[in-house]
Amino acid sequence: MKGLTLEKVNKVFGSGLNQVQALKDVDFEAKEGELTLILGPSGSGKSTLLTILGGLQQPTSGTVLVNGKRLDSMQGKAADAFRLSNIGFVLQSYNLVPYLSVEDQFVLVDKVKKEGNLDKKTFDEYIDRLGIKRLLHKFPGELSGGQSQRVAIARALYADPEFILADEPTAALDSNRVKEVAQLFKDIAEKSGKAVVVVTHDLRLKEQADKIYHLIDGQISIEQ
Amino acid sequence: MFLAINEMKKEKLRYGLVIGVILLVAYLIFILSALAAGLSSQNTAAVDSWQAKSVVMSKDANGNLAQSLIKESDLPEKQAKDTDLVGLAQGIIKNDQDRQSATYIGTKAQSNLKQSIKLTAGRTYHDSNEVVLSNKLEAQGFKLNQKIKIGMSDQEFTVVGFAKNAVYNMAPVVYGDLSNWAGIKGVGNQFAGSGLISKEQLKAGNDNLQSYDKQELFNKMPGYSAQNQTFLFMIAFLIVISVVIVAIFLYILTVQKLENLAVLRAQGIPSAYLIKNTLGQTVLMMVLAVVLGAVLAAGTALAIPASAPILFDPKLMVVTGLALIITGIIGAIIPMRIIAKIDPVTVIGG
Repeated sequence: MKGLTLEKVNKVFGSGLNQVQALKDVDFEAKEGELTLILGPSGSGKSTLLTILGGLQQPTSGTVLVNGKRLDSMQGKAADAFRLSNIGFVLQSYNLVPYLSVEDQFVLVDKVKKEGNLDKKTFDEYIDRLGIKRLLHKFPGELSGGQSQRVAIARALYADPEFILADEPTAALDSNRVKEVAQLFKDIAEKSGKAVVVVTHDLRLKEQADKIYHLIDGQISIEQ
Repeated sequence: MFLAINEMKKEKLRYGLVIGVILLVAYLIFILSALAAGLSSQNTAAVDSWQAKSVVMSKDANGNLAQSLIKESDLPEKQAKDTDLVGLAQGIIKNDQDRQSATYIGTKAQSNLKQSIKLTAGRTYHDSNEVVLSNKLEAQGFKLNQKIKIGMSDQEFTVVGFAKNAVYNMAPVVYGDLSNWAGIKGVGNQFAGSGLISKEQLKAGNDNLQSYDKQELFNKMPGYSAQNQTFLFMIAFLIVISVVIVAIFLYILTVQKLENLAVLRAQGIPSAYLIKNTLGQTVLMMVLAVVLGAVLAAGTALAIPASAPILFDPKLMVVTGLALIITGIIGAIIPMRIIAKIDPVTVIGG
């Protein structure tokens, strides 16, 4: 199966009286070609789930599968190489390197990942749709929150990863931009066959989602 | 280096200040090194110019050639090859107006030592009443063909030339004939000279004499070791300070951009790439600071009076510069460790 799968994943932080169970027996699936939403309030374990999906931390128990192969045993350089080639992260903040122009944010990806990045035509199409073409020579400090977030989305897409993992990608966007970004994620999933997972509490994204999970107090349920 | 160069271009003021501080430390180290080398050469220049390898002198002199008195009877019957008997006498030289402390060095007419004297003006001495002075004395008002008196002797000497690198134990040297030495020093004729200077490793020959190699001779000069150790301590301390400065600056700069680095790590940018950038940035900063510091030091060398005891030795400057760059790299170890241990999860939460 192509996609990201979690089977009976548990994540526990701390021990004894300070023990917190962030995820409880989570079963989750994000298929290629689909936009999957994970909705939940603050502190529900959304970010923990996202970091486990992206191979940034290991579950306490359970299995993480990427295209049917185990990711939870991957560490160090192998995990770095996997993330660089397969995962595009869009985070809430600190997304962009402050001393690189928007254009150089993409050059940085080229410097580290020499092959397999977006071709010029597709890249132009994405930055056109995201409305950042005229921002290429600006620095992050000169961008609004919404512009920064759109550049971050473009940068995550630039390495042409199989999976896009986004943490509140629409937090800084106005309603019109939310619709556009949601539609872009939907198109990326459908047309490019990527699995797009968005962690959010922005209900405006529900319209475009193929699958919606709700995460409350570490327990996940799928919206029928 | 892509991240490093772009960051420095964008944050010109921040990195300019860091480079400026390191530059000032580098400049201070260069000046102190040059001062140490200059003062050291004020002790050793004459001996270095003789290309001497060893010195034999009286045991009682305890390594101080100027205090040594060798009796005729203690001299070896056959003088070794490339070896000269010299007589040293510390005293005052005076002309009509000036008086200066100096070291009289008497040589035999055909000695190697006499031939090694490098003249800057005039000619070498041929008669026993002729002397060649250090060019430092020329700068202090002594002139060619001037009549002077030296030490305890009432004899008048004519200045026939000036020589460079003619300084011994901080005092300018007066070269002249060995036959005048006993009179200038005020000792009896039973003494043949102060020591045997050789381009070979000489042995003492008898119990009244002792052999020293060149470095031992320098170390026994009054004040030489203390002076060098003081400078060495100051320079070493400055180098340690520069490590601390670089480490603190790089630590602060790294901590300030920790979140960005964590995001880059989350996106799969390898630690090695980020560490290489930090290392490259450190080397770039250090090279810029050291080169600018060297340029500033060279400018200072041109501006200060020639009489100042400062010696800018290119080899020493290159070694000092490299030492500073290496200290910069040592200073980057802590920030590099921080980068290696960044946990991307910290910026995402969870």
